[in-house]
Amino acid sequence: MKGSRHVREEAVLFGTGDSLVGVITDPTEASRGRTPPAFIFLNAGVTHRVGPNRLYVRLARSLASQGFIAMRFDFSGLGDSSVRTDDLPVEQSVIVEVREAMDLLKARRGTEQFILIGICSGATVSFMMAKEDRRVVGAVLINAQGHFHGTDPDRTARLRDRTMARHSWRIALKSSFRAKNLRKALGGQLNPIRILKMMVGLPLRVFSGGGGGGGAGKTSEAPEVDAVQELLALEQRGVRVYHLYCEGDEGLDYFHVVLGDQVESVLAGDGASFEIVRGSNHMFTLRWTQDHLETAVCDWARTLP
Amino acid sequence: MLSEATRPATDSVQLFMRERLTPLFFGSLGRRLFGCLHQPVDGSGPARELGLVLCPAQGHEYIQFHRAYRKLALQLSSAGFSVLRFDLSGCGDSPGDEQDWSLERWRADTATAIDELKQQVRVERVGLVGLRLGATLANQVAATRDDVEALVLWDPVLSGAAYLAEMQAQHQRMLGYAHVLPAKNAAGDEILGFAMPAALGEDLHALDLLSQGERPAEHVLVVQSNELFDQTPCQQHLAGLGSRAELQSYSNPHLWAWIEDFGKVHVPRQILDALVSWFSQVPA
Repeated sequence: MKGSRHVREEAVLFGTGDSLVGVITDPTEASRGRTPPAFIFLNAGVTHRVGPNRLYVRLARSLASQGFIAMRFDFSGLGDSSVRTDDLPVEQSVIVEVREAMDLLKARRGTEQFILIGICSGATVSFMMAKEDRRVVGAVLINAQGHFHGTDPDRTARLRDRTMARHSWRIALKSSFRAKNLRKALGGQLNPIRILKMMVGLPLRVFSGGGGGGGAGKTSEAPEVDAVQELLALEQRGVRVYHLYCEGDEGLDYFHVVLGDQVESVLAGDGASFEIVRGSNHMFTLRWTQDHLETAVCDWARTLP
Repeated sequence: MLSEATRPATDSVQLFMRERLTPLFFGSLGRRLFGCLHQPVDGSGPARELGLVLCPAQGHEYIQFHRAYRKLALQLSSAGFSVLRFDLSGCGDSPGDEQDWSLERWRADTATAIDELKQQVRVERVGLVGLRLGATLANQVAATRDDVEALVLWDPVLSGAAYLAEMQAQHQRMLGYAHVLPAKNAAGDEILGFAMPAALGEDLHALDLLSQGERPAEHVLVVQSNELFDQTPCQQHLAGLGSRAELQSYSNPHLWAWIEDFGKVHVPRQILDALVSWFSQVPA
């Protein structure tokens, strides 16, 4: 953690009925001129606001040492935050609660622009919110998955099958883990029947159109084109999007399955960045991958206008 | 996407309505800690003279058990107790990083949390719940004070050396199956996502709960989550020191296993219910 040992942090209660718990990390030095955008960290799965391996704390403090305000908080029902007493669906409550976090930072720190950052489901919500609220000027999507299509269960199942098929083949044959997999296979640590099923069974289902609801197999569909439109719309709005994936994460395959041959055009814009952390699992379990993530995010933050 | 399964049942909603939660930083300048104070809403339960401090586990065990501890605090405050959960120095939301990790520092943190609770809610006596390494630290701190009335040791670390060996073995297993490639010059000073500084390793090697010679508290409950962690020696040792030490055993074979999934955490409800019941019966 570089230069981040002496940041100031404040615990806050906010949202409807003061039911949400968060921590605001302030820069060590006050900014000169315009207030920089604030980073808001969104829960990764059910892990509370400190993030997997405490990564959100580490990133927040590093960003603060670079002059950014950072806030991490728990969605209702997660971490320390209380549950909602209304019947708002989760898809809507997360939107409401991110807005409440932005409103709090506007009221307390005068911040008017925000960058959302999250791992896994936190990345998914970051992307949803970037589309919804014009105060969002950037999104760091780490191992995002499921964010480029709607909620239709058939389409979800179909994309899931195609993602897993691509993932299995990529990890086995094209990833940095090939040699490790081979050693495991030779050492009898892998179940060959299970591997065979995964590598052959899923593609068969996908290509036969049986992948979760009688779809069109590999054919591109309208919602996947919509993802391209959405990304281009964010680009036109000036929103900076950083797509960051671990090599071992299935989200990387989802990204390619959905965008297909549009990947290059989506990433060609000035606002888009893309990176793969090779040799890392989706949780950034090894310390060197955490160091890498910290450096990558801080370097990206330095490029913000 | 967040699952609907993260939404609680109606009875849990009612529990949340019966607590007042205050997140706070406390302690002296340069030694600040983060904590959450849970207090019962006035009139929602019997008034308790015992305040409770929940002492956390460390590393991935802290992360994976945050939800269970939060749930335990909710249930205890609903039963009328004021409860302080806190994060050790360099852990969770508390200031610092692994450079601040030492057993001595964490014992001082535990004592600071006890003093903070007593001051915040005006109680004279406290009960402690400690989880894994946090249990061992709580036991040591309790033995140095006369205000700890009741103590729950949940799978306490009896031998620091054995604990370290067990964690390193889990880390090696993870390296075998997870999609990870260690750095070429890896120093081996990490365990399951967290650093393991050499100084802390040395501290742990010297840690032996069964060599402690002072009675930690009048009332002690030792919780054994599964048979892998035989806690009978702990219960017998504490009984030998004069505590009313009780052992409760459960069967949760995978409770302390590292989970490579953001969507899964352990909430052993049977054990949480048992702890609330036990504290409710500690004589006033």
